Amino acid sequence: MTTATKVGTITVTINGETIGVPKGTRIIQAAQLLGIEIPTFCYHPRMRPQAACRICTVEVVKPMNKMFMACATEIMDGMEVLTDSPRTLADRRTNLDLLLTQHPLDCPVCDKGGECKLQDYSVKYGSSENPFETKRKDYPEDIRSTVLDFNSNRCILCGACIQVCSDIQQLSAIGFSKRGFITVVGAPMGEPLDCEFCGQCMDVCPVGAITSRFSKYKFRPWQEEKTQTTCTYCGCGCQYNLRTMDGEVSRVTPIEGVGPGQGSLCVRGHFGFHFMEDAQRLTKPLVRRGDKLVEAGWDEALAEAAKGLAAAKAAKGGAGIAGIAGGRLANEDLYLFGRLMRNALESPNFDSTLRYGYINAATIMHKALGVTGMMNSFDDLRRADAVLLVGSDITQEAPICGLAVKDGITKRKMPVFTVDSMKTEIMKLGAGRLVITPGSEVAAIKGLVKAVVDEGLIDAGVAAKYPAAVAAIKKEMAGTYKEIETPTGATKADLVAMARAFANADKGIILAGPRVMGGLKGASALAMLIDLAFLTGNLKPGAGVNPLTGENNELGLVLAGAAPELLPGGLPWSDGAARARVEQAWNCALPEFPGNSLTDLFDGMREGRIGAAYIAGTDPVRSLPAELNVAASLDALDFLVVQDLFLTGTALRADVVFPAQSYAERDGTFTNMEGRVQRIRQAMKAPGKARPDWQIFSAVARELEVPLEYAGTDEIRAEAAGLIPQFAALDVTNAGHGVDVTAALEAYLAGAYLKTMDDRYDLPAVLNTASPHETRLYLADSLFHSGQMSTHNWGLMKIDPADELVMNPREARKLQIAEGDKVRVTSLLGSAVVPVKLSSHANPGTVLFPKHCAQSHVRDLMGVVVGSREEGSVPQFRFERVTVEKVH
Amino acid sequence: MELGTTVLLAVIQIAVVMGVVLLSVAYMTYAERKVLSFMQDRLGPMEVGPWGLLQPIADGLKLFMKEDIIPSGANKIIFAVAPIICLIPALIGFAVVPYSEGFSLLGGTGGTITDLNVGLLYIFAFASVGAYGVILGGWASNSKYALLGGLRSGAQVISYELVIGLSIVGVLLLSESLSLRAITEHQDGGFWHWNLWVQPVAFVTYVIAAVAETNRLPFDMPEAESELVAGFFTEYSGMRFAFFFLAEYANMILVSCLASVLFLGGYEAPAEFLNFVPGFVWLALKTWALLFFFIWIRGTFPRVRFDQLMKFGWKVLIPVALVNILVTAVGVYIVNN
Amino acid sequence: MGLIRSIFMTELLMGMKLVFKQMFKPYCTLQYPHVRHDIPDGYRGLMSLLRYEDGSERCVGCSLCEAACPSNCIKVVSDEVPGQPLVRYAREYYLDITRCVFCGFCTEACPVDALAMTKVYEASVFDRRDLMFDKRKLYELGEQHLADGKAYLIAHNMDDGTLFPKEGLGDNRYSFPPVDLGEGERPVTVGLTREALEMELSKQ
Repeated sequence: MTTATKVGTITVTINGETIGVPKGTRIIQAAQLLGIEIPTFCYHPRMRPQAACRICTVEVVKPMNKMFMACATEIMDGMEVLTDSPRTLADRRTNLDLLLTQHPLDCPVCDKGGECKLQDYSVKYGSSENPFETKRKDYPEDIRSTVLDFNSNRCILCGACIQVCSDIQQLSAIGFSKRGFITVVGAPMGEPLDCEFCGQCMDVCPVGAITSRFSKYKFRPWQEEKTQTTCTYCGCGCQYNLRTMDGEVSRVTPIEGVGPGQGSLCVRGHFGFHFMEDAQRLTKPLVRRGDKLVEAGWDEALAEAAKGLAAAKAAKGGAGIAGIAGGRLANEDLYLFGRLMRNALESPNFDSTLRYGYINAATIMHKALGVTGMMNSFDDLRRADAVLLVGSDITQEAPICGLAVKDGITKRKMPVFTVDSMKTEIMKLGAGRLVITPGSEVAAIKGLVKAVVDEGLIDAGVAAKYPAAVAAIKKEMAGTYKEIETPTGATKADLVAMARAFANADKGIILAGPRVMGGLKGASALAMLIDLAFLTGNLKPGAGVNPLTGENNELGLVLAGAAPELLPGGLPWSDGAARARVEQAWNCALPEFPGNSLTDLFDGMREGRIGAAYIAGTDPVRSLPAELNVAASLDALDFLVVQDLFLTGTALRADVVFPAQSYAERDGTFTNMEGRVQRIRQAMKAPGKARPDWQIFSAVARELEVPLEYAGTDEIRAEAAGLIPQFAALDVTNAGHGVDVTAALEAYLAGAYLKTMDDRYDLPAVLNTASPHETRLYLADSLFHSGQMSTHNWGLMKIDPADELVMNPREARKLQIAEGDKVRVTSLLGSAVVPVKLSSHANPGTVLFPKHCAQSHVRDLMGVVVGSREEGSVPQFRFERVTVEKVH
Repeated sequence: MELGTTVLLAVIQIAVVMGVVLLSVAYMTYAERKVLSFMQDRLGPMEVGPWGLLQPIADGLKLFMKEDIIPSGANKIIFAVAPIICLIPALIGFAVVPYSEGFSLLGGTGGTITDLNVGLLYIFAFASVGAYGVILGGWASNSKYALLGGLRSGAQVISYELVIGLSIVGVLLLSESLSLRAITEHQDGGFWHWNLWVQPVAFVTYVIAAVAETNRLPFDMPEAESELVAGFFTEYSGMRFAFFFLAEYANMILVSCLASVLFLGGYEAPAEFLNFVPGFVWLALKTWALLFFFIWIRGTFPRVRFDQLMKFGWKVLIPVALVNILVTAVGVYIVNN
Repeated sequence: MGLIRSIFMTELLMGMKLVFKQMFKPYCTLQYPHVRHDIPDGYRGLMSLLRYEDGSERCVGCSLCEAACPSNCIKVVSDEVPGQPLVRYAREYYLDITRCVFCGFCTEACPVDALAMTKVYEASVFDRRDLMFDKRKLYELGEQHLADGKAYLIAHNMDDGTLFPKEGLGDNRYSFPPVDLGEGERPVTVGLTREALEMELSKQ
């Protein structure tokens, strides 16, 4: 793998093979470099060694003749090691005998049977007759937790699960309790386990001590088929093996060292595999006959859809048709959807869920830095010197990106600074925090910039190289700290301390969450963060500004140009050369002006400007509040085509509903937030007659007599790669690693930067000042759910039914509200009754409600303010002032 | 003798002879299965009737009630006619076989249905026609197995008919007649007068050729189950299959009768003091002894290869038969002069 | 001499003599439907599933029989017993007897003596589909031929005659009868070559 001259300074000889390794390398790592496998239960490449299981014992011949643990022993220069000498094998056998004195022989009913390390090593090292005698444990299995079952009888006490929970997940939700022979692993104080249920303890368990309730006894490892695919829930894009048996998903297993997660998964990825098999999946196309949607054949439904779309085009022109895409769709689907809208239907009105906030990231990042998506990869995050996290509950919204940050905290004591209105998990682990009033992120960011400017923390190189730009910012920072302290609630001292700590780090990475981009001044807020990075000299490889995505394929939406102001490749519509390239590639003429954004489209539907709409992979009726009149807008349409997995609220209003295939039933690619284009692969058969989205778009185009014919997703991606260079290579991150933004930055500083400076630092009005209500309600993201797909998982719904209002316990006590009580939430727009959950996650004065939850109509209490065109026309509806009172 | 009496006499004799022959055929199948079973330490059919005695009747009924299948692509007319072409020559030969010494019946003479002076030629002429049935049946079936079976049969029958023909020339030289009754009477007066003793080589060649001629093991090339499924009648079923089956067994009985007549003195008793036993009993005994011999060699010998069969016929049997004729002719000349 | 022998066909006559003598030897066949063989206890007839004395199903749905089956004719669908968490059983069990080669490996693989072969050898049916045995049919066979099944397990040294009792399993079926390979049959890997070890590892 690596040669001696390349890696290191000291040499070691293992089984007669010599290799040079860096100082500090442990024997097991050197053996892995040489391709020699040493058995181990507790060692894990991403965790600190703990030498608990004693099976990795090896014989060291030189410099002293002794037995050592390979996982924990650092190599000395000139060391000679034997990994399979008779002495080693005898020791290993004895160790196995000792482990097997208590381990029950219930392999036939154990879910680990067949992939159990203890089984494998027992067979390999020959341990079957036991010279030792003891009483076997017969503890009842702990099945009180929702997902994870603990079987203490099978546990060999290697501690890998505890280690993964404390080192990687940093929750320490499980630990050893009791002592000696009766030691058991579980939640503290013998309580039932109630954690994030990431399931990584189960993955690292070498035996069957921790098993999944959702897959209990349903599979045997050798019966399963493995399909490597990409997770469909959030923008992290983790790789995992979807394991299927007889066409049904049996479980999800991580792939160590592969993909952005490096083998870590979150609860949604690990246990959210039931929605594909949900009974409510659409299986046949539906067409409207009178008031009813009735099942129809594909030919009939396609003809009907084409007829309706063509009629609207004839009546109102191409601009009379709207297309709305969601982040569930794969890259190929999105590209084809764009081509269908803009080429076949000649409509400029192609928008998507980017409009909920990420559109600002797409436009500003490209304008200022020439980057689409993130500047840094997850690996950069692990290696950074400091991280500033603004407006993101990263461990809930992008759990695996959060793990990258946590990895830096564990291994390198990386300082993490958090600016947020909620007490997030990462805030507790971080080096510094600013807990601000909800909705005041922009002010807080301005405060940080002001602190950098006022305290003279500007990077010397930057100040010398770009004096004009620095001067322009300095001019904007003339005001007092008072105007920042009032809206945010943060003090000058806090701001200065954080700014100083961040500015002093060599490689500082800024992560911007949805509360930055999705705010009223989302574009400006991100531009301010770019300013902050610019001033502190952090616009360089290994450092930078990174907007975090919310939805699965949000970056795919950007790359496919799924917004009126974007072209394929994520380029701005105003880029004439890019538009000409698209026109040439598609052999068509694009309209001169970009189309309408999402909220304009809904207005247009009600006003009659828009006659037909094609909505794929999203459910605006559910995800947007009542004030936007989405349902009424869709009802006003002459013709609506919806393409989805389930009969959503939007689909109920459609004239034609196409059943789509989920990510597990088809091939394609997703783009994660780093810009990695990763494959999804077919693992099972689709229910009924559902088809992959791209085939439906292609078939509709065929009916419209504009043939967009492809043999498969690879062919679409090959064509798209002509316009979207990111699609050319799979599985490589397009972020970080030497991205040089200097040229783009200089063009920006000379042009748009100064032009928008005037109102960039004007603080927005505090939200809804007219409201008499005092408490602030925020629609928060949940770790367990993301929306339509996750709520159709019976497993995830069991873990977290999640229609509860989260309140601060101290504040609840004041109002005499206990956990589980029902409260009435009242805003200017109405009221709703919901149960309460107490958690210090919510600050005093703030209540949280899960964003994805549609049952309780809390969303309809939210007032909507649509941002200006410069700020991305984002409908801001996640903050509202409410009053919470107990219902008796 | 009046014509009416002649016809009546013929009809009665035909009825009796045919009845006996067909019953023999039926019980020949039973006997064959039983004897083979005993040779193989088994019991054979035991289910229908005591000791399975009614098995042939059950088989016959079954065959006649089965569906008659004509394969698609078969030549329907030839396919239908072939079994009949096969069966009729086999049965018709019994017309000239003397089953008893002449006795008077209805004013005519019994003992033979008709005593032709060229009886032997008549039999061989019709036996040659029987080969057509096999060849046509094989060809008309539109099946590769049947066709191969038919072709083999053609080659084999032509070769071995020659041997049979040459084998009996010696007997003809001795008896100086083609009438079977004349040949029988020539061997009158005890078993030492039988042609067997003056023509042993002819007897052996005749028996071997007869086995080949009737497609019996070890010379059952046309059927050869392990190679050709069932040979020329692979595609036949029901009644047509039964016809082929009948023809095969009738042929066996016919050649055995003929062998008895030509070499074993026919209906003549083996010694003077046994003359009180009626002639047909002796003929039956001799014939059944030969039939047992047929079964016996079936139970003993494996099938020979086709090239071995042809080589044996042309290179061994025919020269031996020719030499036999030469020796006999010389002997007869010397004795006569 | 050889020529004379061939002319007189002495070998053939010797063969015929032998066959003739054979005719008078007693027969060695059985008149099958009326008379039947005594089937030995180790006979590998139709497969059956057995129950415990209290009537509960022995099968724990471990799929080891499926893994051991050389002709892939077994399909086990395992699950938790409804209402009894942690008790594993076969929700469905299929055995395609048309593909079964009656090797008995499945019975050897079974850790709870749930599978046994009966002495039933008359498997003919009029409908091919009836040869796809399901769980109900297999347990039915086990009930009808319990004695055969027990005898089979004893004959093949898989049981001492008592049939492995339910009590040994513990409440949660945590222990199974230990596998005694004996000193000589222990899988020895001390003398394992490096290549073999690597091959072993690459398989995992």
